[in-house]
Amino acid sequence: MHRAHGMTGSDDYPRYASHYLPRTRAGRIAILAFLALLLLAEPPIVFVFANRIEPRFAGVPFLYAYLLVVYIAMIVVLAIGARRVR
Amino acid sequence: MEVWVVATGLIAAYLALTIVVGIWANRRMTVDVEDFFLYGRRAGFVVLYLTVVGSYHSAFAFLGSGGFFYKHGIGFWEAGTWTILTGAITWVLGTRVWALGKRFGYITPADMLADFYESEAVRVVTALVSVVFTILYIQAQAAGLGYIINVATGGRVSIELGTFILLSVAAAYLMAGGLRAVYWTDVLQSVWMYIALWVGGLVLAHELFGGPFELFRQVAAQRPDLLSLPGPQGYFRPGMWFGLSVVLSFGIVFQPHIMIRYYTAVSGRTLKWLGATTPIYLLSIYIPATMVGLGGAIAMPGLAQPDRIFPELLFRYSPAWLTGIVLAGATAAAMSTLDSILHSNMTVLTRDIYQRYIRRDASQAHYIGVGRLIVIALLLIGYVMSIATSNFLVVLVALSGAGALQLMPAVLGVCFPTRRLLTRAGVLSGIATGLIALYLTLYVVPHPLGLHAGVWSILANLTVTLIVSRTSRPPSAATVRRIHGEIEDYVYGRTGA
Repeated sequence: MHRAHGMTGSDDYPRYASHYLPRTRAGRIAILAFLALLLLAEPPIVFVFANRIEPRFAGVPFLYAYLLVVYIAMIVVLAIGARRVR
Repeated sequence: MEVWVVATGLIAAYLALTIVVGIWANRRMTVDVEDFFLYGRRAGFVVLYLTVVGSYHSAFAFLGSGGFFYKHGIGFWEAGTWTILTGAITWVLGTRVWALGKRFGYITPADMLADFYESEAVRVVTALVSVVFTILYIQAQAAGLGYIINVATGGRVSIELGTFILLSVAAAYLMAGGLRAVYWTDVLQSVWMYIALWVGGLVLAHELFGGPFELFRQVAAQRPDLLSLPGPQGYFRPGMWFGLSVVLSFGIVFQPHIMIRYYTAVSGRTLKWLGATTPIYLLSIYIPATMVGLGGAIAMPGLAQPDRIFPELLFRYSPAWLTGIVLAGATAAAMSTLDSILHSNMTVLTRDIYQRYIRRDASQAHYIGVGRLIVIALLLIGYVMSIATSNFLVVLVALSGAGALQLMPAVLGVCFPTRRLLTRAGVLSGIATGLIALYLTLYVVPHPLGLHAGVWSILANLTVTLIVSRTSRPPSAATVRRIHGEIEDYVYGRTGA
């Protein structure tokens, strides 16, 4: 138990490990995979690497196809995570 | 048969169907506040899935998104990022909101925040932010509805009258059946709008170009500026890209109509799977929008109002039956968002203001009656706002999202236990700072350094929230133990205290 910041008096506050950091291996892998894929769809990567028309895939410009692949991968990570992570 | 007759007839049939669903829901309803406001906390996966996606995608998905592709090019495909982020947030945050709502009987977002921060001021501010910024959304949907019916009838029904008719239908089934009616009509609306947008996009791509792939080839040949960033008018620069990702994911999730949906799930597992799978619908609906917008830029260049590209293409190039189905789908898209916002605002005003400060111990039937009166008032406000102003739809949506985004630090402080607690003074000063920063970066110095105003506002909010929270009194130990302990138990199955 610890006393929270800015608190006077004798109230004892519960102490929880941060919920922003995953505590299981599966959780850490899922978060890292999702964030890595998210970075691929955000600046600067998307502007520097993916901002082009060629090569096209069945006529679909590179940027569109690239983002579609990244998006599908992100959804797959969410689905796998939903099965394996608490 | 003329196109406008078929289009109007199909919209009328669709509206009649929603009213039937509303009456059906009314017969199943019990005189119970949780049933009227929260579907009795019994929403299963399919119903919840379709109401969440229907509420998320509005008239903008039909009209604004095609217009954005038309005007700014392929950059709008960034939409995938914010739709997937919305799913991830639903999984991680929505399940926690659900757990607290079920355990402590919360009905509105303000219930949860006021309980944790032990503050009526937090309750009132949360309720006001929730209502004020989503009224802008009502305006956007109402304006879209008026426009759709005006187009469908070939100008025979004015935008003002069309807005009024469709608002009235949405309000009627909401008042009749409460959230049950909203959910059931959303099921119909979400299926209809998805099919309509895909069929419409594919048929137009085939009619105009011989298929979607050939469409892209012709765009690459004739308008390559539409296929790269930042687009013809330089809109999609890195700061705007990142900002829209934040505002249209977190900002929409923190709006009350989405937060309240989290409370209604039958289980946390339902919400987890909802988060993992809703991006499939939310994202894929922008594929036909791409065809409409980019194809329209080749087939009908120079439109003064890009929002109108989809109906303009339909009237010129598609059969009457398809035009009718698609316009009814556009109506469904707008109404499924509108009814959800009307419902959430009704719930917030009834629960957080009327029940709390005007009449505390009335019967359940009394509160349901008050809720119905509030719907009528909201309908009138939305109608007046929709005919008084007319702006580009996405600007309204972004403004709404960035406003609700200011609740983010407060909600995270409840749902994610850490060693540093946020305080009522911290979150209140953070919300105030965030709203001021939002105004300044939207209207005084728009999007400084190219970064979206929503990002500036939430950065200012977070900074002030954290600083003030370090020097002010946190919630009591008992409250922290009760609420954070519940989260700890729910997520990890044991108390960490």
